[in-house]
Amino acid sequence: MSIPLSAELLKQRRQGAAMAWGFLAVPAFATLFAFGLELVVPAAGGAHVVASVHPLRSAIRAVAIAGDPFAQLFYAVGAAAFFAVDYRYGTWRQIVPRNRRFALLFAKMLGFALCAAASLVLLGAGDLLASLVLPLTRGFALTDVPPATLASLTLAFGTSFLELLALGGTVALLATLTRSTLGALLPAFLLSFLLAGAEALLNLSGNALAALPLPTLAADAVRSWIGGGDGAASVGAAAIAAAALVGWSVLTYGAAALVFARQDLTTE
Amino acid sequence: MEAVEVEGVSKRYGRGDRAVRALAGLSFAVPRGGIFGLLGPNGAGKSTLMRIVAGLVFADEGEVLLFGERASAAGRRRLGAMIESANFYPFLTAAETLEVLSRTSGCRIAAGTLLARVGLAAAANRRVGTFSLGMKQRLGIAAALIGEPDLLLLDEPANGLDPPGTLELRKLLRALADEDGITIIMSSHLLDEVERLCDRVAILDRGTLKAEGDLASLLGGGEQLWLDASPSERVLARVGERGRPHAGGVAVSIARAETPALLKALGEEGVAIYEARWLRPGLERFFRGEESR
Repeated sequence: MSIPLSAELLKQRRQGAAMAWGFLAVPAFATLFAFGLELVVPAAGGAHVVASVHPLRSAIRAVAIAGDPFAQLFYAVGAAAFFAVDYRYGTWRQIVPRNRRFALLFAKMLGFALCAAASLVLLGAGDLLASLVLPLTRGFALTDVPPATLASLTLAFGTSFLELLALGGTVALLATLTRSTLGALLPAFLLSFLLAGAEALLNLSGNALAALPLPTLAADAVRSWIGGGDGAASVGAAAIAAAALVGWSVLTYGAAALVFARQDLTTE
Repeated sequence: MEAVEVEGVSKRYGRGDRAVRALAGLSFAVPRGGIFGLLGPNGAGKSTLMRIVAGLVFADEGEVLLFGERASAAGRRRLGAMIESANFYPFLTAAETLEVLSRTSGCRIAAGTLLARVGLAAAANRRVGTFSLGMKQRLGIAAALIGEPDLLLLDEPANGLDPPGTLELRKLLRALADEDGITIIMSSHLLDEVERLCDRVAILDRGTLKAEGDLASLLGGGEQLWLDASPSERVLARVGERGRPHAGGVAVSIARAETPALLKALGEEGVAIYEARWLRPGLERFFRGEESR
């Protein structure tokens, strides 16, 4: 079975606005903000300023921005560009007849995963640049309090990636069910806010573990374990949370594939 | 082996009391080669049938065979389709559209050649969002030709085309059928278009097959000889119940072989014949219900 990934990527490259808002906006805003801080704060503080955060730890925080509800709205726009475009323009009729439906959906999933990964790389790289280049060129000292490793950054990257995959799966399922961009975007956006609210409530009640199956909360549990320190999640909780993230993706993409496999494409 | 075999295909949309029957146990075959027309009023089931053949819609019962094999994604790789309106990604150019569609199908194409074939070479680098309906129809045909298909499904291909465009389309479809050996199934609400282009026709009505066969036999049997003659009363007296006044003359139900004798007899009776021509009933009669009379 051939997966038409190159066709999907070529198509998406030409959807410039959706791609930019979906995958470039978050790293661009985050990087600009990081550079702004690096430029403005030392100037405001006066002469010699010591960086208080290790660059890798800063990058770990930066890739975690992908889990922010507002950031998720942008990523949902990117996901909808992949999963809702053929419903929006009624173009399934052009590509379904000669292809396996699963292969078409899988190509979209792969394309979204690639773009999400690239966006996370930009997010982390932008923050690293901001926290390394300016202080180094100005001769500021870099402290190592608290320390962080490349492995931690990789784990943080993987966590945010899984979280975005889960978001993509949710959008894929919603787009398939509603056959509409708005029908995919609005519930996904509302869901991320609801989950953020649920997380806050559950944290307040001291019952955070009960919420692990929810992607945002599961991702935060893994990040808490990566960050370490007092009150960090245990290895077991992090493992369950990571499994929940994978499970969420498998379930949502699987459900989308099942629905799409038997869906009558009458008016897309 | 037939190009397409439709075997007992039924399809309903919706459930319960609100269910709409689109196809009801439809069976017929489309032979290889030539142009096969699907005719029927709105709601006859033409588009549903095309969507089922193209794999866009699933039949509730029955099955479709393509070149003797059960229709599947692999079998449909020999199929090119333009179903209903030709919808495309408006942000792609015509050439990019064909590139995306060919990559999706795993084919290599020369977009320029395909576009030239449908008269869109000059618009290759224009965004499809700026295209007129007729240009989109042409692009739809070019897209259907990706991968050199053996079977083309075209739903209302002349929709939105201007008269020169319609003429070019006729030439193109005829060439595809006659020179490239592609079997073409086209639906149309333009009876004249179908009569001009199609070799065989299936006529659908409310999801059932009303008539099917080669165009000559469907059109035959109802021909009448129309005479502009004076005095017309003598003509009517001569032909008896086989004649009726029609359009200022007399329409006579008569076999072609009997025509010379009739004209000779009328001349000998002093009837002046100013014009004589055959009235072909056309396919309209199937929609007027005349075929059951």
